[in-house]
Amino acid sequence: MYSCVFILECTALAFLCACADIDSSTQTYSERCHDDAKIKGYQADFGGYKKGKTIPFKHSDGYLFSLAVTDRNNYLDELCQKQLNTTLESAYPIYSISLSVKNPSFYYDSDDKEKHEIVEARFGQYVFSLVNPLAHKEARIVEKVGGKDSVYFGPDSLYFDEMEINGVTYKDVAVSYGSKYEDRDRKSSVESDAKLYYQTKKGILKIEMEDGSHIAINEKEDD
Amino acid sequence: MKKLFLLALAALLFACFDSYDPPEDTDDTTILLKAKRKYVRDSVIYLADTVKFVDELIQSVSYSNDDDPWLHYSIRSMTSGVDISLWVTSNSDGGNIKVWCSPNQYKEITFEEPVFPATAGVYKLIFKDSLEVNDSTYYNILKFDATDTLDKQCNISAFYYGMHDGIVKVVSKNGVELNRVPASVYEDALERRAEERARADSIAQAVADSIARAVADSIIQANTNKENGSDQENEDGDSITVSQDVADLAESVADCIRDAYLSGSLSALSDCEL
Repeated sequence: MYSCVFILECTALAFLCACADIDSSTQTYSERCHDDAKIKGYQADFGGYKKGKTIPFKHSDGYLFSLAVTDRNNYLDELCQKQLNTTLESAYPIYSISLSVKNPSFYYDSDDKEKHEIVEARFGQYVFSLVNPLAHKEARIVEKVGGKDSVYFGPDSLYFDEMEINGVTYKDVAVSYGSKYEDRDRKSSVESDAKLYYQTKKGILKIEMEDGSHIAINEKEDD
Repeated sequence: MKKLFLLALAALLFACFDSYDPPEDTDDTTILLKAKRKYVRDSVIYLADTVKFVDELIQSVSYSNDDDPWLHYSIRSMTSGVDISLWVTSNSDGGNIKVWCSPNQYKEITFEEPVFPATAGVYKLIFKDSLEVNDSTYYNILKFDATDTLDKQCNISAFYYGMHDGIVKVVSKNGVELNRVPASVYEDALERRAEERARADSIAQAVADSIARAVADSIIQANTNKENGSDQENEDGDSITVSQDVADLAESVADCIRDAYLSGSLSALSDCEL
């Protein structure tokens, strides 16, 4: 009976490892290159972006516009990396937001997998690294200061249990501080005060720019 | 026989060289290349519509004046999706003009041996002597026109490149014009936005203070006893005593509510222990 349970446990463990693309064999990188280009989990679910979808947004200067998903491409590149690239565009204001995911086709261990769970967003000269909001939530450190609980957030990110944006409440919202390119060739970037608010389900919720303007998702329907 | 072979070889070589017909360096390309470019290699310009939108853009130019002159111009917006490159090469490099634009910067639009108006598929290059933009006149303008295409290559329908000034106008896909403006327009927009933000912050702060004060008052009222010679009076004029513990609790909860409200977190409000 116990051996049967043991076998079942081993089978379940093997199945879990296979699902997570974790490969601890001694084969070389190219030998372990898996054919499956499909990206799963947070990175694939981010925003629920499908080609042709439009999302209503509002600019702080009053412009109402839609961001349309004009491209979504998932493929395995020549270096055996899974890539998922998404482009969001609006006619006016003229915006092009590029979301890119680049993962190896296998991971050495769970830590290796975790550090790759990033969606990179490019907006104008700004670049944001969007870590899974739940990772931000789990990383919070609660400290007692003066007898009261105070929550410490990471130095380059913030997390809100919920946040109201243009009349709609969103849960599990994370914030990423962007870096920006100042040179013509985009070779080196510097820190910026630009912030991108996001969650897994709706993707990009709000982008605050250094010029004092912002764009924010505008889903509340008029009464 | 040997002479015949050499003659055939010479004829073959001649034929080969003769078949190489490099694209001509047209007069119109030369205009672009010989324009005296005085703008700084990396400079900041501003484009604005007629309502409120204004954006900062970085433009840069590099060029060579040697026997094979070329010019490379690029402009990128800080926040919007305007991202344009222009590459002009002379005869030995092909004598052509290439245009790149966002979102497909890796796919160029090539105008071979351009004579204006030039076409490349559905795209056009048109030369204009001058263009009026916001009470300023810019000279020697090259207009890139993509208005007739449903192609997704460019996120704009037209741009106007001044040979001495860089981009002076961009037209969006739905026809909105962004015109070159002085830095003061951008600075005014920054100032206006800062004022609007300060006003919104002060309103939010006043609301948060008001809510926090109301909660603190209700805590004090619920935890105080009537006593003669006490510190405060209630609405009916009766004197009340507020213990230090109650005052501390009221202040703590008020601070918590104020912070939670200002951070926009509703769940944080429920965490404020009453």
